[in-house]
Amino acid sequence: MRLLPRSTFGLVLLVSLVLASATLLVGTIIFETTHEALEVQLNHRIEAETNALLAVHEEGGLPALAVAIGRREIEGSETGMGYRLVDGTGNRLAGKLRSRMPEPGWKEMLRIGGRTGGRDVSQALTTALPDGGRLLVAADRNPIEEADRVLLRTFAVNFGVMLMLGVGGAWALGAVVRRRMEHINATAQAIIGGDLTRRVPRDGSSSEFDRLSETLNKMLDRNAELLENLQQVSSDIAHDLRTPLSRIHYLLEDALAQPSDAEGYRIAIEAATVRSRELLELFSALLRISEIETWKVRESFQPVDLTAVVEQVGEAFRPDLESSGHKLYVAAEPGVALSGERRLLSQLLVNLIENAMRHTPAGSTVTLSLRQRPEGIELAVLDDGPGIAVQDRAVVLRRFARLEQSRSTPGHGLGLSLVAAIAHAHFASLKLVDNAPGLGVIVTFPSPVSP
Amino acid sequence: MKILIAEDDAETADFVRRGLEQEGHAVTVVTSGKDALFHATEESFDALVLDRMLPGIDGLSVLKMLRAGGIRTPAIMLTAMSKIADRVEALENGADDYLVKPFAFSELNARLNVIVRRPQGAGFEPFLHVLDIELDLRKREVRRAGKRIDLQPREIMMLEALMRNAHRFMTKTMLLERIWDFDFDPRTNIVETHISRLRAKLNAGFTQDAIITVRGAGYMIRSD
Repeated sequence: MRLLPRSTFGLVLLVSLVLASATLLVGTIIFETTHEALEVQLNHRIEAETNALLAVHEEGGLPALAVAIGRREIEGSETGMGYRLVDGTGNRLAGKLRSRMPEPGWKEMLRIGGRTGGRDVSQALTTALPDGGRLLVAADRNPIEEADRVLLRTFAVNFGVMLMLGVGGAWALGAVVRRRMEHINATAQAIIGGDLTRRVPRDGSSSEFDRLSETLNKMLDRNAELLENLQQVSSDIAHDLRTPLSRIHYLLEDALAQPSDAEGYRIAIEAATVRSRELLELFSALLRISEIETWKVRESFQPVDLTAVVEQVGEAFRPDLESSGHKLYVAAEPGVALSGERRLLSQLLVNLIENAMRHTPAGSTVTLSLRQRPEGIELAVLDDGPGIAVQDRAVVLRRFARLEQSRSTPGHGLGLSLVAAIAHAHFASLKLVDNAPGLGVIVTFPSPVSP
Repeated sequence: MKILIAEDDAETADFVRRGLEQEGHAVTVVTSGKDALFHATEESFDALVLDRMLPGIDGLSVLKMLRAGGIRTPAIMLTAMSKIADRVEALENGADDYLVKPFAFSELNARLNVIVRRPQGAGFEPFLHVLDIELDLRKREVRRAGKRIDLQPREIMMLEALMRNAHRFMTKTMLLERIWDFDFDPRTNIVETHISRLRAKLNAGFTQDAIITVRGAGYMIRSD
C-alpha cells in the first residue's frame, strides 16, 4: 500500500500540511488558555466587588447597599462593571442594569438590555441576600472578546502564511527537481533515439544533482566505449576475416578443380587446416580481448608477485630468444607485487617479448625491466631494433593494425591490442617510447595502496 | 575404456566418438544434461566428456550433482568459449581437466589418458624411475644409466611431468599449463625449444633418444 506520496511535490506538500496542522493545534491551545485566564480574571473582579458590596449590606442593609451601588455607578463608569439590586418582592432598588434578575450563581453570558458602558453581554454573579433581596454584579465581556478576536486573527494569518509557504515551497522544490530530472530524462530519450554522444548538462556546482549528472555521464562514456569496442570488433571481423577465409576457400576450390593424387590432396587439406587453425586462433584472440575489455576479470584479481612473473617468463623465453640470435637481459627489482590476474600478466609480457623478437633482427637485445617508481610500478620491454616511427605508434595499438613493413611476418596484429586490454584491465597505462635506437613498451601500474 | 560423451552438437560428438572408438574405447553419446546424469549414475564409466552448455541441465551442474552424489569418475569439461573464469569454475566444480573448443582430437585423447590413469589419492612419489632414467625430486638429481645430468629447475619439472605420465603423450598445451601456468598458446616455440634442450642434455653420450616426439600427438618419455 502506498502510504507516502512519491513525487517531490507530494512529499513537500505533505510535510507543510503537517506543519500547518501543528500550527493550528498550538494556536488552539494558546487561544483556549488565554481565553480561560481572562475569564478567571474577570470572575475575580466580580467576586471582589460582590464581597465588598455584601460587607456594606451587612452593615447598613439594603438602603446602604443601594446608596453604595449608586455611588459606584457614578464613580466607576469606566470600570465596565454593572449592578442591579432588587428586594424580596423583586422591585428594583438600585443599579442601572436593565436585565431580568437571574437565579443566584454564575452566569457567563448574561444578556443585558441596554448600555452598561457599552456592550450587551456580560459575565455576572447573582447573590441572594439574607433579607430576601438579590444582588447582581456584572462585568463587561468586551475585553475578552477583543482579545479573542486579536488572537484568532493572528493565528489565521499565521496559518495562512504557513500553508502558502508550504504549498509554494512544495511547488518550487518540485519544479526545481523536475527541471533537473527533465534534463536527465531528455538526455536518456535522446540516447534512446540514437544520439549516443548526448550527455547530461552540468552546472558546475557540486550539488547532488550535479554529482548525479557527472556519474551518469561517466556511465554513459563507459557504455559508449564498450559499444564502440563492439562495433569496432564487428567491423574488424567483417574486414579482416574475409581475407583468410577467402584464402581457405580458394585453396580448397583449387584442389577440387585440379585432378590430383592422394598426396596432392593431402597437401592441400593440410594447408587448409593450417589456415583454418590460424583463423580459429584469431577468433579466440578477439574473444579474449573483448572479454578482458569488459573488465569482469577484475572480480577475480589476487595478489601477484610480478617479479616472479617477469623472471619466469624471461627464463621461459631465454632459450627461444637465444636460438634466434637475440640477447635477453632481465632486470627485475625483487618483491614487486600488485593485485591482478597472473596468467593475463604473463600473457602481456609474453606478447611483448614475442613482438620484440619478431620485429628485430638477429643480434638485437631484448631487455625486460621491472621497477618500483614514484609514479607506480613500471614494467618495460625494450629492444634495440628498428623501432616504430612516431606517427605509427598510435596505429599499432589498434586491432588488426599491421604496419606495411610487417605484413610479411606472421601474426594477426592483435598482440598489442591484447596487451593494451590487459594493461587497462589492471588500471595500467601503456606507452610506446623511442628506445634510441629501438622500441620501448612501458606499462605503468598504479602502486598498490598499502593497507 | 568405457567413456560417456555428453555433447549436444552432433558433429562434435561424432568427431569425438569416432576418434575414441578408433583408440579402442567403448563410447556412449548423450545429448542432454538429464541423459548424462542418468547414464553417469546408472552405469559405470572410466571417464566422462561433458560439454559445458547442454540443453536442460548444463554440464557444470551435471558434474556438480554427480560429485555431490559421490560419483568420482574422472571428467573433462568441454567449452566453446575460453572465458578466464570458466576454467577455474569447471575445476572447482569437480572437473579433472578443461578443454576449449575447437580442439584437436589428439589433445582430448592425451588429456583423457592422463586423468584416467591419475593415481587416486596417491601420495607424492619423490623418486621416479623410467627405463634407465632416475629422478630424485628431494635432491633434485637426475641420472641416466647412473650418469649424473645437470638440469635447470624447469627442465626437471618437464622431466617429472613426462616420467609421471610414462606411456602417455603430453601435448604442448598440457606442458604450457603445467610448467609455466600459461593458459594461452604463445606463437613462439618455447615448448619445443625447452624439450630440445632437455633432450640434448639427456641424450648426451647415449645413442637412444630419451624423449619420443610424435607430430600432432606430443611428447612421451621412452619406456621400452
